[in-house]
Amino acid sequence: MRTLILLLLLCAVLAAVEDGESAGVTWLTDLDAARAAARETGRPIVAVFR
Amino acid sequence: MKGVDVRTYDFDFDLTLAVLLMNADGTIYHRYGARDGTDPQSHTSVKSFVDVLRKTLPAHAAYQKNPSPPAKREPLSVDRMPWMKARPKQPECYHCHMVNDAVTEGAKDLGTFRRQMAWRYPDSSELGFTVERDDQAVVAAVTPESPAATAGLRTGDRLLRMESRRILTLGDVQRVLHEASPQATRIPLQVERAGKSVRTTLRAPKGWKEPSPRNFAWRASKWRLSPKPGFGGRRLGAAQLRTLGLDEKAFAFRVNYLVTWGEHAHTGRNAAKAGIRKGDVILATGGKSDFHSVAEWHAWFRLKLRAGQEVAVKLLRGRTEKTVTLPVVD
Repeated sequence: MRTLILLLLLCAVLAAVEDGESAGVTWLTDLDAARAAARETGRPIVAVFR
Repeated sequence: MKGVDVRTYDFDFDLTLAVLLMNADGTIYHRYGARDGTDPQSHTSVKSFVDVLRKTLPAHAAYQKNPSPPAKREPLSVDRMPWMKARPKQPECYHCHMVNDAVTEGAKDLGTFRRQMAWRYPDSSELGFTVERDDQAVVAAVTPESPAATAGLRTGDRLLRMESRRILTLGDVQRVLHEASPQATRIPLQVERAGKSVRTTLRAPKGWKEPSPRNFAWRASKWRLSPKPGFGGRRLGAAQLRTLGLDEKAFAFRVNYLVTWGEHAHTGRNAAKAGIRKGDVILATGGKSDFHSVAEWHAWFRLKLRAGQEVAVKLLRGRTEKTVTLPVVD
């Protein structure tokens, strides 16, 4: 149930972000890859631990 | 958490959801996912999450112009911590709360453990204020005569900074409190009130970090703390209480286990020797019965009692009320 709520929450957040000016969220499951991508693109990281 | 560097991804490891908004260099801008003692989702909502995501973007842009990366440190993951490595069997999945287990038990092994190490990420209510759920920089309530009230904090104030840290979330507030001294200490505070910036200071008294049982109850890390009662059970519902002739709003739980296994089996043996049996209904402990949950009872036992004391346990066995004396053991 909680996982479902979290998925719904993340979907809603993604939708909210994509509707706005900040579209272009990249979803990664590897923290090192996320840091490398963020370093390369200059974008921030949203690290989610569940 | 296997392989995750907990020195970089450093958060409240008891949480079931934790979000770090951060720079690639390891700088953490904001923390999301914190909770209070009442509900796991007390401070999670789509609105507040979107809010912190949006507000982090300009903070990130400003930081990129003038970065100050944290000092490099040797990475450390939970599976590499000595206590975890020494376990006969490694878990298939390393849960977040195992970080706290490994830190606590590792410190016990080294003889460096202090109870205050368990006072992690104190809730703002320990200093007398709460924050809104959807806009977590806004003060929701201030407890009269608390450090927050003494500092002049008011409902509706917007927290701008605590110490030098920009505040957007309850997680940000709890991180500042986590890093503060457990001794009597002062925490500078800047708030916005009616469009004006107001500076004040929270004066935290000695021992302020020790949590209330209610705030400690939800933490998985509480199980590592002693003394331990050696038994537990399930809270009775209204219908069960009525059947026993008890007030349906009362707190009572039925003992459904005594700890008879593992390294803490002596606590269960101690409870059995004192006269506690499976099936007993626990009504009060040390004269106290105003618990909100069995978890809170466990937290209270660990926080408020000390080995060497004796505590009176009032219980119901069948229809007969009894009081047994339980020696408190570590």
